[in-house]
Amino acid sequence: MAYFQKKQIDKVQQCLELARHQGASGAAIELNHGNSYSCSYEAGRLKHTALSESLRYDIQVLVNGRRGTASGNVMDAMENMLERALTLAKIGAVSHFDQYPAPGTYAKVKFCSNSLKLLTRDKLIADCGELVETMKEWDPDMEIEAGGGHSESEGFIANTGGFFQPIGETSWALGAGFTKITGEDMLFAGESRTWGEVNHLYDIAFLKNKLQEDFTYGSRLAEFKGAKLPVLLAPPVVRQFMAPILGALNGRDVYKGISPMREKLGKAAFASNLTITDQPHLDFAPGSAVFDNVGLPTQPVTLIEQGRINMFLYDYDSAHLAGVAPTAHSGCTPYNSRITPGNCPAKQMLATIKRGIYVQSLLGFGQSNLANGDFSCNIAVGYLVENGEIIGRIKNSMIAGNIFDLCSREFHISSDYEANFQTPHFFFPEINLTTKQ
Amino acid sequence: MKQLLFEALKNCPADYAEIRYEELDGSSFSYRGKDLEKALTARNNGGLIRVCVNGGWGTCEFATLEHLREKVLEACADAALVGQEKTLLAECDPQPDLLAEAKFIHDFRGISFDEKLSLIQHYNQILLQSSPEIESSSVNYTERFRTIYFASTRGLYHQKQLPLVVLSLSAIARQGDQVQHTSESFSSVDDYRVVLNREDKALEIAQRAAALLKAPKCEGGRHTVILRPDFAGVFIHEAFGHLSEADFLYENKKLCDLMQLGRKVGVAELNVVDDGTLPGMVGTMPADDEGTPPQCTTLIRNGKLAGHLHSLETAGKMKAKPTGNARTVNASHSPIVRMTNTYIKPGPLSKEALFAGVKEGIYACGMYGGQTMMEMFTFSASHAYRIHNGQLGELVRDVVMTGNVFETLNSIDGIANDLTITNRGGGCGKGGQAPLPVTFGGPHIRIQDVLIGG
Repeated sequence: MAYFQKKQIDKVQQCLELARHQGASGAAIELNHGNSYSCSYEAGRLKHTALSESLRYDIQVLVNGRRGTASGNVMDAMENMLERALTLAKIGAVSHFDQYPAPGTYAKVKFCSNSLKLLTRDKLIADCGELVETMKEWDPDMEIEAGGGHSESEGFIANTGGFFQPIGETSWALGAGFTKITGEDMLFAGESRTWGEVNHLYDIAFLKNKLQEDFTYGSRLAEFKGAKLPVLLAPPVVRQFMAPILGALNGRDVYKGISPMREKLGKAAFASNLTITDQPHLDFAPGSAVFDNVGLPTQPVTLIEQGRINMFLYDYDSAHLAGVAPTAHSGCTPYNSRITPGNCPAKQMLATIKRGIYVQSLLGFGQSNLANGDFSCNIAVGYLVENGEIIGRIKNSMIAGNIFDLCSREFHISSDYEANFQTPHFFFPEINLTTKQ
Repeated sequence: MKQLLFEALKNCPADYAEIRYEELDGSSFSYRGKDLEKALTARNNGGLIRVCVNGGWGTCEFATLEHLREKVLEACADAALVGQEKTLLAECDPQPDLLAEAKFIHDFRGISFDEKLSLIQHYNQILLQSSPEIESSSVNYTERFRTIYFASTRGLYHQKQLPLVVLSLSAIARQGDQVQHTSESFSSVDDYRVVLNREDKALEIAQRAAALLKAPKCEGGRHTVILRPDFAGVFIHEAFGHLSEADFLYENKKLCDLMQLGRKVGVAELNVVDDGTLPGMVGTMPADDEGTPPQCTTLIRNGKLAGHLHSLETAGKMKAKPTGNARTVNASHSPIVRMTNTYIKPGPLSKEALFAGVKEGIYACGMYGGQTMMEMFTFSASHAYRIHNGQLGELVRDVVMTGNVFETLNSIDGIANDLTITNRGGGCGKGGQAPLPVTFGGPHIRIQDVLIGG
């Protein structure tokens, strides 16, 4: 830990002892320091660079079955914040455990990569510039933007269960987009990538190709009349669709009766081709973790297996609440969910569509009753497909339905997937579409 | 603090530089179901240096005030690498130092945590016990006090205190596998009593959540819709408010041409303002985050584009005056152009006249949210009722509307003479900065031919 010196580590240990001394049955402190650099192009030219340094600590104390939490970034005020957490704990949130568990044995996963040193300021500016110049070649009058950056964080977590572990990660992000205005028509397109290591995912050619597809297909407009039609969903939309499904596996919500899946453990709630795993040990993946927020070791698990709900996700507190074994999922959410691919490439799925819609992005997703799986939103970028060919971009159209219902009936998952988060396409035989016609 | 900030800025090699430093103190409590699940307190200090050299910007976020001068110089060096044109920032009239202390009607800091917890527990019990279908609840109380210090190379200095208290109530009803929820929130910048006496509201929320279980979905298609004032505010915020933010326009000639002042964008009765001076509103500040005083900006006058919202840079490049709309959500971010308190002005008709003109339609109330991609926007109601022959009918759910800015504002065919602007919790999101406290409001309005998904 290059940033935190011994005196800061000692300070944290002293605060944990102080918490015990003041009557806490358990206490935990997480300390984190971060640095980042980013650059951005606006209107086709380099506009902005940003340096950032951040510091943060989170303190949690357990007193007589209650929990108080304090956060801050003033190191000299840590003891004062501990006092505030202890004060809150006396009247505070219910804690369903009163001792932190003993440390375990943890998987070896890579979070920090020296490869980020390759992303110098000049390289990031040059790479974003290359994306910008490419888009200018297609249409110099478009509003063009691009941005990139990298960050690193380091810190540690300590608790009164004897747990003390360093944490940290590196990450980069690269993205670009354009707004093409023709008369009153506006086409927005954007693409980005992020990872913890500079590897094959740092791929400017991929970003260019994807944006060019959107530019080419999006420039032609098409109209259709609202109906129930076959729909192919691009990976970013599939990731949105997964939100209520993964949310329904939240163990705390299951116990509190909020999850619509609460009676469905072990049952076939979805189509048999849907298998979703959680992969917390992927090297350099943004969500990876070898331990949860109390120090329990994480492990890869299968959440939904051939349509059957295999498990609900419980953190240490909700597991005690529900009287079940914890699954080491902080916040009762997965770390890196992955959908098992199907057996037909997305291009082939597209080729089979006699008349349907290919949805690239949505506007307003999440503004329905997602807890129930309902969605109703505008198709921000979508294409009319006829006889396997993209005819043109559709506008002023809405797509609506229930995700649980759709994924419980026959639908298809592509065999290929978008590389960053390994998300495939989904193809549904019919979804309700509404237009002004 | 003033001396420290100006010392760090002194003679810095930049066309413009500013330092903003913030101290934030706050607490929040949350019930979910019968348990108090969160009791959190926070204290965070930090700031941002922002420098402009030859039209390019360099920023440096910092956590402590140590080595401030070095950080300013680092930001200057970065900006110099970036900038390749003339810096164009609008001039401002000279302003005296602004020392804006919070003025409370009823200060939340004088109320004990025990009392606050007791209050939200009381609301939570009402939510849980009001109806057998209520499966769970969510009650959140949040308070925060921000003190912001700002200095710029234009000699501007301000110190402003921005308190905020928010209460949100949510009920979750369940029948079989179906789950419905509904919520409302309340906020204030100066009066703790906004969170008091909400028993009737808690009961109403819970009963509505239960009723939504039985309510049919609104069928998709084109409908005549009357928007309740709170929802009319969401509508204008999404439909037009963001498009009036000049940082979407100032570097985009085509968009600028589309949004040229004087262009007809709506019906002649439509008038829309963004008013950063409204007392007691969460979108109001004594000065924006570049030091510009707030003002009331007319965005649409008699159906025609009348103004844009500006920062120093957008005003400079568009040869306009800054409007006091450069805002940032916290110490980590640069100010960008944001709304403050945006509303549709009252029109000529009575609410009754609006309803009388509807044979079959929808009355949309409350808000789930909204989103815009400039040309297109969506906005979703928390609940709605059918209208039959001018009368309110049955409750319906899942009312999500979409519109096109060049069509929908011209499809308004009735604006009532009432007006409601309310402080809520939550806020607006843009450019990764959310939630920024804003208010929106309006009168009842009627719109023809609105596309509802379903």
